[in-house]
Amino acid sequence: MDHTTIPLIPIVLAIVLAGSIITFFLAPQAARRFALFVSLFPLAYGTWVLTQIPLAATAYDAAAMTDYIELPWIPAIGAAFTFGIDGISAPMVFLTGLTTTLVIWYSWGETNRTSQYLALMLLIQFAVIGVFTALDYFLFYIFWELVIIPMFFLILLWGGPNRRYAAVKFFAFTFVTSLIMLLGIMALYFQAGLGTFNMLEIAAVSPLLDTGVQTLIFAAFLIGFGAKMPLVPVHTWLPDAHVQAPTGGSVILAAVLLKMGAYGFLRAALPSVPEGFMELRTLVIVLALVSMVYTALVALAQRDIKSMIAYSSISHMGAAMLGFATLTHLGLVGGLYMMFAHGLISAALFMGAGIIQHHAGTRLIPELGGLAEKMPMATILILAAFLASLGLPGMAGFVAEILILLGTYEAFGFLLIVAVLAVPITAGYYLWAAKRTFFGAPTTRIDLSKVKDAAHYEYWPMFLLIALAVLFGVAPMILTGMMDTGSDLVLGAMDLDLAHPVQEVDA
Amino acid sequence: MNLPLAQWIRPEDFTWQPLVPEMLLLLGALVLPLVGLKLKGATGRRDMGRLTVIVLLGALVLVGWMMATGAYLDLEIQIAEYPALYEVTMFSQFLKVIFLFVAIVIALASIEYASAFRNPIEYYALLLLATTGMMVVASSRDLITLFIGIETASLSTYVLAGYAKNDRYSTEAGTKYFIIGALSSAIFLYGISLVYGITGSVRFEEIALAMGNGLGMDSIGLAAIVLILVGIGFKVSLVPFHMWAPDVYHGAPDTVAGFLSAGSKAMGFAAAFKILLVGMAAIKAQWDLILGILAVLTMTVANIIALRQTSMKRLLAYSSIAHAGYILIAVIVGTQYALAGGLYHLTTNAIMKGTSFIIIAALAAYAIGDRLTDYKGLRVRNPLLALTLAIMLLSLAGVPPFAGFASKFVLFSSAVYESFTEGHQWLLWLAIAAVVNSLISLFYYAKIIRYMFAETGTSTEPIKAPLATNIAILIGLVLIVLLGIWPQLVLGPAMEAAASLLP
Repeated sequence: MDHTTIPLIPIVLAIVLAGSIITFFLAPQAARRFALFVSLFPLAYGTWVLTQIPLAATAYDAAAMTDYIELPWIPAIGAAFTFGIDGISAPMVFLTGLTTTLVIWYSWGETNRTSQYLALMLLIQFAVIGVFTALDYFLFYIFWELVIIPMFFLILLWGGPNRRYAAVKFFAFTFVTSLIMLLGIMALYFQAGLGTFNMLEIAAVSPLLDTGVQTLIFAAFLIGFGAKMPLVPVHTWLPDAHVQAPTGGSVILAAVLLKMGAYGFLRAALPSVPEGFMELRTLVIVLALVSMVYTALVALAQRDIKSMIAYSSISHMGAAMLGFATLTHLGLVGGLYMMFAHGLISAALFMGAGIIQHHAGTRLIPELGGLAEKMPMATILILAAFLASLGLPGMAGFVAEILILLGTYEAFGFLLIVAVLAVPITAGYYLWAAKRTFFGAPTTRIDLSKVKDAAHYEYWPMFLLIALAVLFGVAPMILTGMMDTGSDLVLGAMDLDLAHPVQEVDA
Repeated sequence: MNLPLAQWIRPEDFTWQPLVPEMLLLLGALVLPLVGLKLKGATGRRDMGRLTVIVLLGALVLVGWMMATGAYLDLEIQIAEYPALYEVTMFSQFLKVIFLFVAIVIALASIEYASAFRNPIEYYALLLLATTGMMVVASSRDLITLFIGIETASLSTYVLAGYAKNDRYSTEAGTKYFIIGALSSAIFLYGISLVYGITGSVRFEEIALAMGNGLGMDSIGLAAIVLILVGIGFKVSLVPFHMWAPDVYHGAPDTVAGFLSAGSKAMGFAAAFKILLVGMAAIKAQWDLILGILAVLTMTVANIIALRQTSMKRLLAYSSIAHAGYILIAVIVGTQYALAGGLYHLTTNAIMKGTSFIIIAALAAYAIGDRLTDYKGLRVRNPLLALTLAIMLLSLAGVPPFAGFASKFVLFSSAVYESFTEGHQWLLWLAIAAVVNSLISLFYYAKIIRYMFAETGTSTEPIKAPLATNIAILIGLVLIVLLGIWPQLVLGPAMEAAASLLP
């Protein structure tokens, strides 16, 4: 693939940032239209870039990156505006563009300080695309932190009754852990001794560092990325943030922000400190399995639909982490596919929870019942999202799960049994929640006669997400090719002797 | 030495052109009060402020021009045979830009704020004199010139702190600041006399030469260092010499508190950089650990006390103390990169603190007092002020992408770097302490942001800030964002400045 000389990624980022600032000052109706228009740029770019990923790349370097660009920034410390997209980040950029556009569409009914709300959405999109495309540790960190501020205000100003607590908890958790990650970045920067923050250049030398140093650096990354994913035991901010956040914020949080953690592992941690990862691999596997199974059990006990979906998200991201920990092609591709599929499905799920909240006035499962008659369209879409999330074959979630489970078996053998435990539990809480919410005796706790079906701006985005979940369920090869190349490059950069992964773990 | 006086003032004997900015300020300080006598009423009082801004802007343009073109740079200003007391380098000019910038922003905010004083004429004259003193410190080549600069600035700020004569807190602040300042100057002077006793000189390069030859590595050297550190410690408010700062910041007029927190602090560090990194660099082993302990103590104590503050200005005072602890890292590490980080952080700290205090000053007219709870619901009353204050606080906490993060990053990473390369293992702990402290600080900054944005206050009456204040605030806002995403703008000159200072 020829490298274009046009800095496409910085241009897209600049458009979104400028759009965000302009939206802030517009009148509500104009702000909606303008924000939607601005969000089409990253969506168009994200879609186009899916077709541009060089599948034949063999080395983890600039040539493997689409639209790679390096612009001088802070020569004093060797930081630069380095951007690029490969098979790992392309689906994420597409996902970010897609969900932001749909969330802005979905938020057509938002009347509380609409312009500011949409401006913050675009600002988050700006930062997240920055995270997914930055190939410079310093730049990566700046974008990473920039995500926190608008999300903090989104929860603080538009959230539910307990929003202050949730917002501060979100801020504290993510900020504290990312500072630890910053220490890891500093250590990596100085240990590599190249005088550059370029991820690709550092990854070319840092795997040769002393194992002890690598372990410390990876531990710092594990804390930073683990909290964002989130992994048990640093997950407790997520249910609070989700329950209190406005629907749009929840969708972005689940669909895009959680992916940053998993993406960080693949981009910033694994290729640079493989030995450190190998040292802590057992811990990562245990954390991933606990995240999968324990949070699925916790989800079973939730009364609030949103809270249930939040725990389900943790469970799914745990599965993605398990996929990465296998260090097999199947596992890595499965993990990547899980990130993408969960992005589509969780966005639909949170939109569904928002519809129930909006029209029924509550999200508490015991207060609901018999909604199917009153809101048939919403019921169909939410049920479809439930099924997609529990891994129904034919939908994107299934592809991800089967790949991860296969990878797990390939790497760890019968440890698979623990991972598989999460599957029936997941099916359990979704089906149980569906039964109690939509079917069964009509509830008397709320006034069902006032409940209306979803508005068009609510169900169309959801429908599109479900449709895409089906598309990527039946045609996974659209993405698996580039994901395979991407994971190949990461494994190649790690340069580990994994001829016999099973024995590797046994030993 | 016994040159006839007439020979001293002959212009052809020395290059006087680089001194024009200082002369301009001095002239302004002497002439403006006379002009002020002619200006009557509230408009006249505001015109005083506008004239001051013009004088300062003129000086800033000159300094900036010298920096940009390199004119008169690296010049020792020699008067006849007498050894040079004064120099013009990137380092001195960099600091002068900070001082002048702070003075301009404070003067802009004072146009409205100080018009409430019965007689603001001397207020502006003292502001100009204080700035002149700071500029002398930045350019000094020996301890006596440095001391004169510090005293010029300090004596002016003592009066400024007590300028609201009818406010007993302000009077208390002025008195307390004067007593503590006089005491610390005496201690500092005693330290200077010991240095002179050891090395036989007060000139930085001669002290460096003598100490490089092994002088000063004894108990008398240690005594000199301790006395000088105590003197500087008072000036830049290091724990345990910080007790005066919260009272003075709290009592002094808001604009003056901003000037102390942004400008005087930078002057104290300019002195510390000169004395410790140039004069006493050879005996670093004598003082680096003492300073390391002081730095950790300063940031930790200040941040923990700040958590419990209910007064906005006291909270910012403790935040200011904590930042002194961070900047101290630059002295301890002492490399070019670290010093550049220190200068960078002095710049951002000056912007953040100056802007914050200006906002406080603008709010004071609307019965938003000193209590943190007064800030509840500020977003509704004036979104621009609330947003700017929030960004300043986030930047103070070191949240990207604002400039406070970038400068802290350079500063802290210099310690990390030294701990790896030179085997100074303990410097890593210094960096970790600084990072942990930044975290602690986030909680009290976040509390204010929460009050402003998420809580409802007792009043929803809109607040209108005066135009000049709005301009000053916008300058601060733009700079803090711009320097955050484009650190090179300051870091580049800061690296050159650091290179010009270090031998």
